[in-house]
Amino acid sequence: MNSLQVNVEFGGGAELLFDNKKTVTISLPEKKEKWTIEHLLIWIKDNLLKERQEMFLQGNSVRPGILVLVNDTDWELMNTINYIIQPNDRILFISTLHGG
Amino acid sequence: MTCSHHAVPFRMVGKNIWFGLSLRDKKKWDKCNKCKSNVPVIILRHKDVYCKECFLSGAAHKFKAFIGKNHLVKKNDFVLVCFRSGHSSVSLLHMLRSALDLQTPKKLKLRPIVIYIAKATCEPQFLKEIEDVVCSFNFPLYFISFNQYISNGQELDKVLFANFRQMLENYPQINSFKRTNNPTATQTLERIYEQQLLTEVAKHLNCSIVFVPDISLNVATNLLTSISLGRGAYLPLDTGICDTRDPQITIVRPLRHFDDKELAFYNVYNKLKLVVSPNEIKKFNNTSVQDLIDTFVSNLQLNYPATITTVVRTGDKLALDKTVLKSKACNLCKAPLLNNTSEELNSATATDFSRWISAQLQIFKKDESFNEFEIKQRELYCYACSKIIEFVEK
Ligand SMILES: [Zn+2]
Ligand SMILES: [Zn+2]
Repeated sequence: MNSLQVNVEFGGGAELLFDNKKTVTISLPEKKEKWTIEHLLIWIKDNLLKERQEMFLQGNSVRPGILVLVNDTDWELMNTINYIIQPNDRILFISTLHGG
Repeated sequence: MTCSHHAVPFRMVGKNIWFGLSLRDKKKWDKCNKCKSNVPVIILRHKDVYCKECFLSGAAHKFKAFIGKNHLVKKNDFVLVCFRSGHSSVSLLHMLRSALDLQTPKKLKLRPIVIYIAKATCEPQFLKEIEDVVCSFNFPLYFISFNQYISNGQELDKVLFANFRQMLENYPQINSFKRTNNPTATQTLERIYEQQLLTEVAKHLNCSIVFVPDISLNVATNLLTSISLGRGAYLPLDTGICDTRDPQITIVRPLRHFDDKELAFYNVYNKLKLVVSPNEIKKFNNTSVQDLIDTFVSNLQLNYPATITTVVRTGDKLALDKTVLKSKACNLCKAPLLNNTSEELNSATATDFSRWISAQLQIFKKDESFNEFEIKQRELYCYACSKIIEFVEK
């Protein structure tokens, strides 16, 4: 079976919602459709984010104030939730809601 | 999705609507706005795209230009830098260190001293992280507890520590900052006292300038809050480029033209370690005027980011009449008292009048004409503070 390996990272305080884990390597199971960030967010919600989901997610996207970078590039330049995840992508979620 | 208790800023979400991104825009974003050749990595204010090199050099330039253009510091001045949890302070320290270490004539010449004001009870681990981060930039660091300052601020020697462990040992058990039953007044007082703390510590450490890590969102929020609290006349001090209400110390917000996205990306690209307080997550509570305006401004930033820029730029241009600065200062916020020359009934007079009426209703208060009462009020406090003081007195 061909799973899709991605590196998910959390920063800026977002890691506090994930047991203080700053990096997680995950294997997304094979499925008919291509994996997009929208699907990844659902996967994260079901598998990594146990509580306080409203601090991270809103609707089918991230909560305003959470920034997303795909391989160091702003996801707003990459079609945001519709970006099709590639093997070994590095997806960073960074919170601007903590502190200051 | 469960409903949250907080009023969260809204934005349109959906498969095809996202910051109005369309295929047409995508094409426009092929090349960096500045060098016109590299592939962009960031889009700012929903429209300007930059490659990594141009983004980082642009940020450094914006910072240095702000300090240089406004003639804020004299050569080798000591500058007190206020450190807070989150992105902005780490960016600020990095920008300072980079500008100080330049080998060109544009090299910045000032001597930063960092201070962390511990507001809530702080875990030693959290304070240790601050120490590590500030030390990594090679700046001296002091800790002070807000409560200790409130209860024992006259003797700064006893409440200012170069080592956080000493501060924790001396931590007061009681919360000496008396909260009023009005959240707006409490937050206003906190802000005023924090500013006084910074001014006093700056004098104590021979600094002439204080750098506060407020970003555009904070400046816009403070500006609109000041207006709502009747401090319109003091906008140039409360939210302008320089706060000069103290004759010796100038308070400056050198990150006022940066937004949180810029600084978050700046920190990611420079691989900077953040210090984040688990207790300080933005909640959008809406219980005070400040919180309401914070939510309002956050929504604005999300949907109309250019508006924030306009608000901050407007704040930049406001100036206070220089002669006003010489007049007597308000007992609370230390802003100069403005003479009420107008004969008309303005809101300050109206507030005084309602206070006078309620004072007259208390039988033990001795008779005092409204005119006398008003003059007394105006001699002690500015209009906004006279309303805050009411809650303190209660
Ligand atoms: Zn470029
Ligand atoms: Zn005042």
